Amino acid sequence: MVNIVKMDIYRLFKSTSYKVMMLLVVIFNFIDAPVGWALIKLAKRMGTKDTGNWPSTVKLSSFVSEPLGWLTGIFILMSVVWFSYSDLGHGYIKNIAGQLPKKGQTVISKFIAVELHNLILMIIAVISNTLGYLPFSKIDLTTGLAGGIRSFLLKYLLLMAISAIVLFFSTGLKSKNAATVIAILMGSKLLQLSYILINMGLQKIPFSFMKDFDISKYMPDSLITSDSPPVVRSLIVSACFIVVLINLTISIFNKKDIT
Amino acid sequence: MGLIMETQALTKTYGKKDACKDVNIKIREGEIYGLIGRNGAGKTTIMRIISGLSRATSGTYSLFGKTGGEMRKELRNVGVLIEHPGLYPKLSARENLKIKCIGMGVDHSKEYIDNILQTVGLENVDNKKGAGSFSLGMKQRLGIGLALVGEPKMIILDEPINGLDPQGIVEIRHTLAKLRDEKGITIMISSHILDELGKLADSYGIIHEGRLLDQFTASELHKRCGQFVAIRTGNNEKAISLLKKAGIRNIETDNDGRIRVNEHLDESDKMAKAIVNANIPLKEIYINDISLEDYYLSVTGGEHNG
Repeated sequence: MVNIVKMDIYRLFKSTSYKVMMLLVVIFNFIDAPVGWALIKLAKRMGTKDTGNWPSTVKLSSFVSEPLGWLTGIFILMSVVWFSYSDLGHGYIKNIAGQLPKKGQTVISKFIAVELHNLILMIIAVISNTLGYLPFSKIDLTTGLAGGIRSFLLKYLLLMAISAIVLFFSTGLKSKNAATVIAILMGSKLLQLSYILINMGLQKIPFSFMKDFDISKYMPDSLITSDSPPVVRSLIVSACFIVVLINLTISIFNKKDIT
Repeated sequence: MGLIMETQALTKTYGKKDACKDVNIKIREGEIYGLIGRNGAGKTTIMRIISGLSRATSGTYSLFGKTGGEMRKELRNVGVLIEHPGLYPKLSARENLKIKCIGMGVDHSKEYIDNILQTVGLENVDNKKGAGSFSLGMKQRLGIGLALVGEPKMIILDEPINGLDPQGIVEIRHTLAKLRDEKGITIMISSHILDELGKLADSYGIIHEGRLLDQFTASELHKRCGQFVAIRTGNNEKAISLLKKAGIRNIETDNDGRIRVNEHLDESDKMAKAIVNANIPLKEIYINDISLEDYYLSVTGGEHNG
């Protein structure tokens, strides 16, 4: 098992798509400040009212607590799709899966590599975002940092849960297209629109506790949008999604032939 | 030599179709076993099951004398190349090999990988070139190299010489023979190029429409195919009697109405002379050389093209 994990981590660092996504995460997070600053300057020059002022000081904790801003979440999840599907898509899995005592080990090792991948990209997003603000604002390093780190870790766990969903489609069902759609919908938070419809349906169920039921409170892609996700609920939701989906993925993967 | 792999009534069904049915293959340790069959006969299906990539619908198989969970552990010692090689196209040959070495927990030093590359004839490949830009032959070689990672006791190669040029085919044949002779690796190989398989394999299995029709060793094949003097006359009975009087014992008539003389192949001229002198009409006489292909086609009821 350890060897398979080492293998997946090694091929992660060798993969071109991972390096490209890392570059995109750096660029899009780094330009956040310059673009914002330039837009405010432009608006003021054009005489637009109520543009606000560029903050002279920003807290490091605000970057740490929001590592998945703008397109970062989509980039990370797309990279998860490409990495998790590449051994199946290129057929490399045939070289090794048959020689393992349990084929399902490749699912677990892939998940571990994906979590390392997510952690690295989230940290890089925070660093790039911070560096982008340096020329324009002072950075307050300590205020609220503990809370920011807590929020970062909770969002990391919630991203693990979303990655488990993506892995289910890419590796369990062996569908890169389905995994891509899920990655985009969840990374962009668009799936939350469907929760509104689901809630409307669920609230019609004639039980009193369903009257105010809101499914988005229990979905990782909704919880991850919160500035400060609820700790206990985030932990439980993440754990449930990860355990259920990884086991389901392994079960389906073991039953299917490797083609 | 004991059996290294044995299948018992191995069956794989997709929907209502049996891709392979009740297949009983026996492969001896240290031999090269050639699996012969046309496209869609079931060769790849059988190889997938044996190599752990696919589950049988029914039936069992044993590896190294073990079955069930114990056998599953032994699959580590079985290297595979099934259909087209699975390679990461942007990574070099070395990187592709190194990934598997790490996954198998074996030595992934430069020397070890160099040794594998040399074995399959890729020692001079550009280290900056991605495997996706390799020719089909180079990809096949790298696929064989991947199967050799971890010093397997057995390798399963599905059409490994597809796409190779004539020199490449000869080199792979020599490589596989060397692996058998020097390292004692058992090899199960399928190929459409029966002529090549005939030069390489020690045993054969013929698969047709999912069923194992025949299984035989190379020496048994020679007895079944081999050479004989084929004679057609206007009076076979009289001709056979004449030849028997001349001391020929191993003589028979086949279904095509030909006399088959399985001995004294170098005296066909004397046989012809004797038949003509006895005023028996001689229609034709020749040395018949049945190839593995001819035998395969006779077993499966197929025909030559062209």
